Amino acid sequence: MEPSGNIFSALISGFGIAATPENLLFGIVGVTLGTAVGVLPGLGPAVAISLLLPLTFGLDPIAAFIMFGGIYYGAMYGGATTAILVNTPGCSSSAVSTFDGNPLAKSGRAGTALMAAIVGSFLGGTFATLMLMLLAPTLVELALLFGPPEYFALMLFALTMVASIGGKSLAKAVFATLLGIAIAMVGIDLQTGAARMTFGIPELASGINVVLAGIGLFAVGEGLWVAAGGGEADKRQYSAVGKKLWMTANEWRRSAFAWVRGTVLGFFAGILPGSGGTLATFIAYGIEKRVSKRSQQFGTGVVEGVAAPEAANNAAAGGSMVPLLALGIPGSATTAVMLVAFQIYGLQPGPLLFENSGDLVWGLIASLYIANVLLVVLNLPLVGVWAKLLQLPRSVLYSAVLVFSTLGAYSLKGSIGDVAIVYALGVLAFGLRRFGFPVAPVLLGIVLGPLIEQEFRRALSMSAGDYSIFLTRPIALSLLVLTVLSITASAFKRKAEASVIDPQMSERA
Amino acid sequence: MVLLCALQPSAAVAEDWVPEKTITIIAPSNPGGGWDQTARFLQHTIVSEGLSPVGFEVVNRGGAGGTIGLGELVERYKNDPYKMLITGFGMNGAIVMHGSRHGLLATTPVARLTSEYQALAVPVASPFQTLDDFIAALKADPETISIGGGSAGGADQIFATMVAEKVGVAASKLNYVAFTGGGEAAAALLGGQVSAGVSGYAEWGSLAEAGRVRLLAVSSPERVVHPDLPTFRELGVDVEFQNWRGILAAPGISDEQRAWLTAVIAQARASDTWQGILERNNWQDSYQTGRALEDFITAEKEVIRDMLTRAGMGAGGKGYAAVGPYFFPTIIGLGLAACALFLAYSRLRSGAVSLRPLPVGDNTVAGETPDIRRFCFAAATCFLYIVALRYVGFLIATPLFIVAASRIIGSRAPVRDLIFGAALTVAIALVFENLLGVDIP
Repeated sequence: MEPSGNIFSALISGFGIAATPENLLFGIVGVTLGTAVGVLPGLGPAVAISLLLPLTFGLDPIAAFIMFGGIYYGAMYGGATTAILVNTPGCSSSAVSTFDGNPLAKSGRAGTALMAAIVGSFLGGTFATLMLMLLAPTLVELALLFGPPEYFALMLFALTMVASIGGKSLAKAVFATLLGIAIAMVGIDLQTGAARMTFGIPELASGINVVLAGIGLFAVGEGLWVAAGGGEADKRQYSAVGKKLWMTANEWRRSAFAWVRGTVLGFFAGILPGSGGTLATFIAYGIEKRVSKRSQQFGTGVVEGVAAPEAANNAAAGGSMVPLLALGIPGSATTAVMLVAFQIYGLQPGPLLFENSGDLVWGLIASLYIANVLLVVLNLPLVGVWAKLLQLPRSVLYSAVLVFSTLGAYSLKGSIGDVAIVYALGVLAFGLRRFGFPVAPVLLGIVLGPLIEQEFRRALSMSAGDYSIFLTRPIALSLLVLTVLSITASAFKRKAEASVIDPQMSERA
Repeated sequence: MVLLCALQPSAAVAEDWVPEKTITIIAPSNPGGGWDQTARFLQHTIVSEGLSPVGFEVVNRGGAGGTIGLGELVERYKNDPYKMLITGFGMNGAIVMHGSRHGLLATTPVARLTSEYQALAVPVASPFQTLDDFIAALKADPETISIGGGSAGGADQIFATMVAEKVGVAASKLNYVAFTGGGEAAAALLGGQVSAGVSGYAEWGSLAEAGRVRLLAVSSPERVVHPDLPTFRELGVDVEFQNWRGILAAPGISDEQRAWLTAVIAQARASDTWQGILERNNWQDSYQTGRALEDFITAEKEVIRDMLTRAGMGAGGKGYAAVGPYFFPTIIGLGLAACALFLAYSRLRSGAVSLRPLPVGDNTVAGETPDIRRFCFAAATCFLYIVALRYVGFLIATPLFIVAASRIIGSRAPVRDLIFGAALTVAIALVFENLLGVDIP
């Protein structure tokens, strides 16, 4: 971030501060804890950091930073492990990794998927930290060009990804997406304070957020699905785990591009305040599927389908540090907690950060690099252990998933109401799957719905009600054009595929 | 850490009542929000200054402008001296706007701690050089001047409304754009997306210093936050405003308990740690307790009620919005209906009129179709589990739930499941409750 050529020496001194044995120990604690909370549904990095904050009061600031960095990156990766192994993402930003990760695990290749996730997480996080160090002020200007009309257009574009994740029937996918958007509108309206669809229930007033939705739709949904006898045919396949633990040369090659694309996409999604990691994973997966030669096989266990989103969510985590450090603007729940932590340690993020507290910042940046390396070092040896988890009886695995889901939902606000919401969403997810509706678009709708609505209304407020605001701003217009192209392209592709694979599908028109 | 504090109990706190376990500060916002910040700074002060013989922990109970946390304090923690709640201007606003069952005086108010003055900022490239420029433009055509700030009915909007009314612009004409938090509003202002922004001075301070935004005026009575920043009052707009934050205790606690809690907070407030935090964050020390605080809260609530009614906010109100709160829900509802009709139509046309479910979708390629009867068992078990959590607690409900759930999933070893369930429950209780401090039901 420093304009002069002293970045290198500053970084070296940063490592000097950060890389003490004691700090490394805190880093290890952070990554381990982060991975653990990532694995557990509902507990995310924001919760973990705020829980640990009081325990760090006596520590050296750098020790605390390295631990928080470890938690953040560890959690982003940790969510993937359960997504891959038992189809229950630990965080909503890992939901996408179930699409191909779980089929891979079912075919006995859990190790491959986990490895793609670890390497992707490392690359995403490291690239993001590098960009943070070199280009944060420039990047943040770029992010500031995005106003409500641009966000609205970007979210519309992201919505078109539903065509890639929604399965065979587009009508069902659209229905599921709209359902998600409708769910997201429950609660108090930000612009006017009106309580919408809350039926006078106070628990609904604060809305159904992405975290609850992630637990309910995926973890509880999967638990109920298994309880009702779904997926019993997989038992035999699961036992084949461990034959081919690592990635093949071919998979390395294929993943390389997925990692790069996921990293870049995720990073840019991350630097936009408020858009977040979950969105990044959906876009990364959608794009990956479209550019891939194997797009037909996506969803059946291709390694790129794990590599891209897992690189994206860690890159987004790193990207969200850009507006935090450069402007003091937290773009996510986790960075908001980090801001509080920084302030407690006397670090005031903002434009003058590097001038006012250079040592601490370079220590922090070095910490982020170290946390990334620790992530790989700690988790690669664990791949085999995780894969062995699958040999536990299914009843044990999935009843534990339900218990942890309950606990995760409760831990957010200490409310049994949230637990009830989560189980209601689980029943909904079961119903949808039972009747052949895809579940992932519901989550996409819940993520995008509030953004689309609020940004649309903000944009119209900006223009005092003039709709041309969406067409007169170059970035917004380009994104809208991209959206239309995306819809057209996938419509053609679907038509072509439908006529090849299944002539009966023409009923869908 | 708790142990360390226990070794050095503060001599100054020598009331009749002494706490015996950890005191919980409830931050009625999500981690990272303003109230969360206050709670954690306060916790940090009390712990690092060694002011209490027992530990202090912070939990988050976000939602509905803080009224969820308030309701919990009043209803669930009545008479419990170990629970405190961070509060502030925004909660008083939310009480009015969402028609909350309880007011702030339904609790035991302990202290007002900090105040933040509101500043009006414009982008550096803005044509508005002075407050006069801004006001002239606002008067000429209020709807073209968008003002960004925090969520509807919060301090930012109320203050913007006060300024508008003072210069003769109707509250209902004000084009206020709500953002999720101060940070997002600041980003919108920096990018020139809105004409002006209203937020606490702390939010703008460092950005203004770095020349990224221009501050036009601040809501303090005198120039206290920065010597070069004029107040609204001296520029001829007669408003004064402070976004305060404070702390409450549960209703029904004894006078001794109240005295002890008040004494700890008073010591924290007087400490160097706390004063340093105030200075770093540009917060004002607006410490107030007792009767004066209660009068302040009552008076403020009336002002807010008045203001929100005129701005058309809250239940039934529309506020200014080019597109109202029911526009999107209507569109989405129509879209859902259209999809449903289309799906029903194509289903009928394909000749399958029976109500038998369609083959499962491709997210579930592998695996057999689940059994509805087993699903009903599972759902009922889950429902019983939730009820049991509420009435018999996590420790008893969880092992039983695991046995039942395992049985449904297909386990034929109830004894093993019970042992596993009990072990898991104990492990969770130990790790979550004691190590992490996460509440378990």
